[in-house]
Amino acid sequence: MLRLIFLLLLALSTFAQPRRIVSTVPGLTEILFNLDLGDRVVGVSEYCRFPAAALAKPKVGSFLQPNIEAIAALKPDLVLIIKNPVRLKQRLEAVGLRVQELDLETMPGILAAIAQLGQDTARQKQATALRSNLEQRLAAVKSKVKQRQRVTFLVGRTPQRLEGMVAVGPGSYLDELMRAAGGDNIFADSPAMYPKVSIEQLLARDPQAIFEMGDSVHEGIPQNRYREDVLAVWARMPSLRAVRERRIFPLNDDLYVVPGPRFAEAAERFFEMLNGGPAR
Amino acid sequence: MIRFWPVLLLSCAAALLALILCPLIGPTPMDLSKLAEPESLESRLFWLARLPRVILALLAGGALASAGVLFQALMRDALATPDTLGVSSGASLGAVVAICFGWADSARLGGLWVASLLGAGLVLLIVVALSSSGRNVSSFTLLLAGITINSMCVAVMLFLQSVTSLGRSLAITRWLMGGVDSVEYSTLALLCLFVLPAAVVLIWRSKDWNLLAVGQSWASAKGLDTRSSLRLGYAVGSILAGSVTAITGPIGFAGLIVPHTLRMLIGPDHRLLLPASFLIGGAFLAACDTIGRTIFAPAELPVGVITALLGGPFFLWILTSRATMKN
Repeated sequence: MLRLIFLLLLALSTFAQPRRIVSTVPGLTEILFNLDLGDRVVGVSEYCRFPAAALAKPKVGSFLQPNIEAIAALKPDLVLIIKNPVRLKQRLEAVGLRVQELDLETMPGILAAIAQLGQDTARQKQATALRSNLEQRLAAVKSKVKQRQRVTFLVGRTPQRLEGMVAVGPGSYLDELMRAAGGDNIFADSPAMYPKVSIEQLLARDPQAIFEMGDSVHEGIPQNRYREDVLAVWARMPSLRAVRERRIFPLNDDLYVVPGPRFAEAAERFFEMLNGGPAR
Repeated sequence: MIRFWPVLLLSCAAALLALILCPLIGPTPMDLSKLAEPESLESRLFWLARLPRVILALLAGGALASAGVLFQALMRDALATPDTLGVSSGASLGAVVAICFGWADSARLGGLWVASLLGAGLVLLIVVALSSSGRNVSSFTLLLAGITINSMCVAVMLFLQSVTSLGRSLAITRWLMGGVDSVEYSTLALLCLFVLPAAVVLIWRSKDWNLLAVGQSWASAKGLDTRSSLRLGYAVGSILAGSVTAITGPIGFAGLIVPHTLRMLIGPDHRLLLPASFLIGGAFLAACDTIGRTIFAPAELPVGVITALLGGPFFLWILTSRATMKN
């Protein structure tokens, strides 16, 4: 009798599992594929490019402006969204969809999102494995850090100029990642999470390394040309220590700007770059 | 005219004071004794970061303010600004197109700059064509045409921004925020090539603007070739606004506050108003930018935020006081 009930419950739980999932956030799409749920993903955002299999899925807009009609047309039984200020959950639920809202802004948030998704999709075992893998790799990076370095990460800049720069400030995902890899953000005291800064601040604070994603217009061009272009711009400012010591790291990979389950890989790369490795 | 030289000297002093003082003010304190040492942080900050920035603010503020004075006279409308004819939007659109299609990507071409100058030039051609076509086009028509050109440029920019990639769309957003930054000296030299001759022409023809400000028929009666003067005025004003916008992006209200304050203080004679606006306008923008880069350091506020926060209430005040005057 007990066995029968157990089997019944198991059947029920399998039945309740979402079969058609729409993800409106690149990081959540990555988590789904990591939990072997790729074949259940029926729709992704325009920005979901990793893994490559995600590119083939139907597109449903961007994470802040998903196309609710397109989502409903896919008849999903679970829609994943990121914590947002535009009442997306209410709007999607109003058309009768089941919605899970998750927070990917911090590493603990990402780990919690993995656990939650594992539970929602009966993939607890994979979720636990993924979590402990990420936690171990992050701990390994942290334990390797010997000497801390002053760094900055630029996410915006006027193309071809050292003007109109936007840096990573405190409380952000990248700030957290760089700190784990041994980098102290020179703009940790900024009142803004992504402050607009100028060459004056860089000269005054003279970082030991500059991670450069400022020329965000360079999507899709080869990494070596991108690197040459970015280094040529910085070469005009030899007063900066990072320029003289060749520690400008032009980055052209959405790995760094997609908060998600690749954060351990990003932390590992930061550590490598800060310890003699090439920009990657 | 009694106070011509004192006012002019005072304006010169204000601009000079801004040029000397503003580079010394900032989030990093300046030890004046180390300024002469070429390898010191102070001299780097002064020569590489602050001086070019203050010079840019002086040129941009001066150009926008004097263009504001001019457009207010030509259109005989207190609310006309360098943006009114759509020239600034044309420059912005050029820059947005350049970012969108990757003309700004190459390291060796100032694609962004060229494109926004072309954008400003294109709008300028439309304006000049309108003002010199066979019919007698009123300033009211030009004003409406300017608003229409503005809306069309904004529409195209929004369209481009919505179809381009995320990275390019972010770059566009940053550019449209506008602001004064530490540019290279070569950029400043290029800007001077446009702004200084234009300002000289503007001041040189002050008497024409005085006549036109009263009215076109009055000016014709006084023997002025109104059509060619208007065309020259619109062209020069557009060169001022367009070349500045190409470098700084849109900066709101700079062409409104300074002209009106000065008109109230020193009267409407363009022989004095124009040079004073150029000098005080520059000093004003340099001061605003010094506030913008200092108060929330290390984060900076775009200078447009400061000018608009000062200019917004001022604009409202002009509107209401005009209304009470009519009553």
